Amino acid sequence: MHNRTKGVAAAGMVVSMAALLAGCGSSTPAATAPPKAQSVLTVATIGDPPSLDPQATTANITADDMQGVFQYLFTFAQGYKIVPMLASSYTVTDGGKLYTIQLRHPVLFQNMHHMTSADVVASLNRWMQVSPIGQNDAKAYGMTASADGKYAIKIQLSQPYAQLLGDLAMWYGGPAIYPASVVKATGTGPLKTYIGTGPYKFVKWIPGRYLEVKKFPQYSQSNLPASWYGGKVTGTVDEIKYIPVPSEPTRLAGLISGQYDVAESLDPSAYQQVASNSALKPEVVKPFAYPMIVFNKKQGLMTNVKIRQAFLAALNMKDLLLAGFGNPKFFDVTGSLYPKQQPEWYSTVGTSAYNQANPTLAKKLLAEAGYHGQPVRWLVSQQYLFLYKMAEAAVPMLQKAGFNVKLDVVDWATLVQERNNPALYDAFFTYNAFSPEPPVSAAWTDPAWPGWWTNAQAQQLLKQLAATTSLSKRQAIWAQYQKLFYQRVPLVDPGQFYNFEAISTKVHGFVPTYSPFFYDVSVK
Amino acid sequence: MAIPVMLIVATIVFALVHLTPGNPAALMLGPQATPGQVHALMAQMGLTKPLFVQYEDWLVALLHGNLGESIFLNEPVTTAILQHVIPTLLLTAVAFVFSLVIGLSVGVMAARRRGSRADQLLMVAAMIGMSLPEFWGGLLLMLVFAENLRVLPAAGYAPPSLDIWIWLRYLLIPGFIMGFVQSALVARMTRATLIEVMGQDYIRTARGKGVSEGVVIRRHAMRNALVPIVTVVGNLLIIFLGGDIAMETIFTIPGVGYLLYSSVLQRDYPIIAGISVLFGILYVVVNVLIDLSYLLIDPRVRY
Repeated sequence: MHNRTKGVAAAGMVVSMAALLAGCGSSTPAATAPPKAQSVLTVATIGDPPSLDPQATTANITADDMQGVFQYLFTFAQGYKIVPMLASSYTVTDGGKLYTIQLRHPVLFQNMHHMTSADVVASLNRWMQVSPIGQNDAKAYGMTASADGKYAIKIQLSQPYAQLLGDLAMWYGGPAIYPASVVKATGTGPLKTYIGTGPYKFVKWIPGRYLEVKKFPQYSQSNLPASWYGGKVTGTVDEIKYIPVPSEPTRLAGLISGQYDVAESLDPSAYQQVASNSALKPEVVKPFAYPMIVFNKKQGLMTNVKIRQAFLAALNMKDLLLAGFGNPKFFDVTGSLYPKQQPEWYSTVGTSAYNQANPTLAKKLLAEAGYHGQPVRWLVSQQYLFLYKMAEAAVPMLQKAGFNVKLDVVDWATLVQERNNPALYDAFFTYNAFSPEPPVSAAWTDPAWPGWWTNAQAQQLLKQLAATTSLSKRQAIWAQYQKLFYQRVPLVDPGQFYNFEAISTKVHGFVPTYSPFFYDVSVK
Repeated sequence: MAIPVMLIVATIVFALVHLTPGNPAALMLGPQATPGQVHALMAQMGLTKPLFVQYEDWLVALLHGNLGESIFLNEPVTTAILQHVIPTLLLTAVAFVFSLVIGLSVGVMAARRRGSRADQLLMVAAMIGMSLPEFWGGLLLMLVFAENLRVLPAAGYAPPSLDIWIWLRYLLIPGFIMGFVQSALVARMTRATLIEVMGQDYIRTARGKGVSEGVVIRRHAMRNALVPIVTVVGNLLIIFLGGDIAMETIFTIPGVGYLLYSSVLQRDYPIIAGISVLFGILYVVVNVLIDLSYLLIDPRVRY
């Protein structure tokens, strides 16, 4: 090629590269720099949410990231007590079947429209169609919602349901209140406009980069005293950026280097490193969740209650939890199905079968069950490493008791699918978030949920629990349920575990709770 | 020939994606959903149709240039990929520069000092480079430069239009590690090819005429050694452009690799299939460009 041509080609390449660099911003999202905010809180999260619509998914991260944007009729104050939020008051009549809820007003949506009963009814109706929890409430309790004037609604049930307010307050798959216009435009399809009543308004979501919310200056505050998610909460930082950082070491490194102000869900092994750093503060979130070894009670080995009892008898729960979490700060060895942090529901009734670590008893039970060494197929995923480590620790305990355990290690999406097929497994390992009231987990309440606990007595107790509003009566029913739980062993709950978060010491006023909120928080 | 290859690739990709266990509806609804609720959402998404019908719909759309719509991002697959391709392109550029600069320099140095202690040390370094797990090297550099020295950010991405230096600082560690690991291959190929070329008569003639060693290497030896080097470099480009999943995830760079990783976890079938098909096309295109480049490099090559 002629030298002159080569020179022109080379110059052309240089010009193209320069154009590529210059043009890269315009073809990537967020080409312009965001306006300088007075205070910005940067939160490193575990990843991108599947959507920004908390009604349509029970995935925690959706509601966590939109915690400041959307609000609910009720919410949780300190100690997870249920308090009105967009509601101002309510009455329950007709034997617990009719809820009349007065709405707080004036309440502005972030599009500057005033919230009325039409918005709330539209939101609830959508929720009952798209949310797993809403669908259940509509189907099992015949729930319907209607307006009762401009600032009140009625919720009619076919039978009493004492946990209704908990469902209305729950963030995950909960009835976030949207403008009726947004509900009408969206229907049951994916939400594309994110307008709520919270102290922060949605600005932008660039998957893989960040979710940005900004203070909503015209936020309509409640007059009740501020308490966790409820009352007179204030959005104090001007802007919050949620950065998806799937790699846990990267979240930690970014926090240490000052790139992030908050790092969620860190490995407990990093606790000492954070605690010894004067620029950081470790936070342990209690209560948080509990692991569940869910047995397949529809088909196969685990339809036999003695085999399930043998499985429970063989396990040393302290060793399991130590294997999973390493640091005793992050777990509690307790047979109570509710953690100590929820004293209303904490109980040791019926827990003598918990944490027996008794292979001899387990062998005896297996012999009575007629077990002859058939493989116990245990579905587990490494995606939640703590579950995998616990399963690995459990295997020798079970083998010592005479079980022939086969760990089936799959990715999480595969586990979620395969657990629906009773022919494929005998047990699967998952975990569940704590719930403010018993029991909100489908694993225990829904006979159609994988595991298929159809025990008539358990269903009867749950019905009684749902129908009773008296706390002392509910506690008595719950104690009976827990006793039955340990007799029938529908699943194994090894204990409670806690979450590890860390914040920069520049952040003040942060309260570690299950779903992180950033009200009344400052960054200095 | 390329079109039948692409169709076969597309079919295999579709089958692999849809036959793998897991489904997006379950992941979208979250852990509390019952199988019935999951099935209802799958029906809404069209995932309960017979697989052959889904394949037919997808293939017809593909032949019209339509890769479908992302289940989770609620936007056309093409839009989603385009939004993520720029960070990958820019990371590729940085990694490419590092791999060429390091690889060619080390290769030339080793060839010139063939058989010496320096040559041996350089090749050992190249072997170590090739064996180094990228993610480990990346985390190590993150520990040193971000956590301890605080001269570079731990992770993230900013477009160059925001600030070119901020942009570069985000890509330095991942780009360097990617380039360093792949430079080993470039170095070894450069050394081997140069050694072969340096033994040719015309090189001996050039030296005999008094041409300096630098000119001998630059103008005579490298030019003739370029063909195999370009082949290796071209394949590097394909590796980089496919999106380095590990680096993009660890360093939170919203490129094609990160998109593919999150789509696989979520079973976002249209995105997985779309990226796989485009990667197939990319492979074909880059190989054609490599073949065409031989025409520019070596006038003796004729097609």
